[in-house]
Parts: sequence; C-alpha cells; structure tokens
Amino acid sequence: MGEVESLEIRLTSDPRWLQVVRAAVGQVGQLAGLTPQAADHLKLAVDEACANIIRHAYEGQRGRPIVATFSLHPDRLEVCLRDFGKKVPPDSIRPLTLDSSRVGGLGVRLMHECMDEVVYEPADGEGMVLRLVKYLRGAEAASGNPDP
Amino acid sequence: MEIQIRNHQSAAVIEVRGEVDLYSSPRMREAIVETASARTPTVVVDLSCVEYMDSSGVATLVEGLQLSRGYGGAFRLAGLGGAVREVFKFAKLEKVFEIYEDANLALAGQKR
Repeated sequence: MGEVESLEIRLTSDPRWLQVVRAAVGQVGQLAGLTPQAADHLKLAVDEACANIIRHAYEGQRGRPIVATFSLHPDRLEVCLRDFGKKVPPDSIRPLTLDSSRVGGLGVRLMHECMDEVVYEPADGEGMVLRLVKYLRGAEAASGNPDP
Repeated sequence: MEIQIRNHQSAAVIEVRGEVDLYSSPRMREAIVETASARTPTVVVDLSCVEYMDSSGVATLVEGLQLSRGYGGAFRLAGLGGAVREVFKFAKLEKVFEIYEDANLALAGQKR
C-alpha cells in the first residue's frame, strides 16, 4: 500500500500525436479504475494541456519535447506535463470567463472543469510544469489498481 | 477525421466524422469557411458521428457562427453526442448555438 506506480510518455510537439496520447490516457484512466466519464475527462484535460503547450509554449513549432508523467497514488491520479518552451507567470494562465468573448482560454477552462486540480508552475530551467490531479473517489478508489 | 459537404437548395450540411482536435480541426475550418464564403443562407454542421471534440473544434465552430452572422446566415449544429455536448456545456456555449437533434431537423429549423 502507498506505492506509487508511474508511466512516462515522451512526444514531440506535433498535433498528430494527440490522438495517440488520448488513446494511452484512456487506458491509464481505465487502469486507475476511473469511471468511463471520468476517464473521458482525463483524456480531454491531457489533450488540452498538450495542445496548449504546442500552441503557446512552442508557438506551433514542431519537434519540441513534451514529457507527460502519470503517477497513480492510492487516492489520486496525477499527470505532470513538462515543456521546455516559454516561461510565463503561472497566474497569467487563466480560464476563459463568462464575461469574456475570447476563445483563447477555453482549453484552460475545460481542464478546470475536468480535473480536481490544475496547477501551473515554472520548471527548473526552461519551460513550465502543469500538474493535473484527479482524486479517486468511492468506487473509483476502491477499484483502483484492478488485478489484470 | 472525415468531412463531407452536401449542398441543398439554400443550405449546406457539413458532415463531420471521427475526432476533432488540434490536428484535424483545420480541415473542419476549411469546410466551414468554404460554405460561409459562398454566403450559404443556412449552414448545418452534422456532428452525429463525432466521438471527440476539443477546444480547437469548439473555437472553429464559434468562428463559423461569427462568419455566418456576418452575412445574416444561420449556423446550426446537429446530432451532438454525449461527449461533445458535455464539452459545449463545460464551455458554457450550449445557449450560444442553435442545436438540433439531427441534420434534417436542423435543415427544417425544427426543434423538438
């Protein structure tokens, strides 16, 4: 008990990889014992996070590294997304608000809707780290780490 | 993702199939811009075969709505499945769009 299992996925900043990442994230959600709906939310949040890195941190430039680390804790699933692009003040990354007509913060809004925690932090060295957390509740927690 | 445009008398139905994300949404945008450039009076985007949509897909549809409004056209969405509808709900855009159960009802402008 208390053991943390993890998986690391490394990709380059090419939107073609996003469907592959989504498929893998769906499997991670299943292994974590998430409900199908919660697994879909996880998939959407990670997809939006990677898309934001491609669009904003790397400004559409291909071939730059993105590292996604999935850690399965007894009570939560954590996903850390590391980029090596522009550093930005974390509080400048805000979700779209209702009174705003811009679409740019929509991805961040979707991440907040889908996850329990969305935390941006400057990384050591270049880039940012985004930490997405989903807590395993009730049946999800009870059935987490199911036997193969 | 696959796109097909069916032209009717004064309307066009853009059928989208598959997953709409940062990689594929530019193709959906091309189809929407093409129909809007022709000032098609009614544009229906049929999403009944879309299993997944991210914010880039939603942003593309917002752009389509703005383009259509620009020339006084109607821009309607049809057949939103559970996952796609939820993205619209999260984005608080359910009431911004005219959403119909299917493409035929959208063409007729009939909400059930």
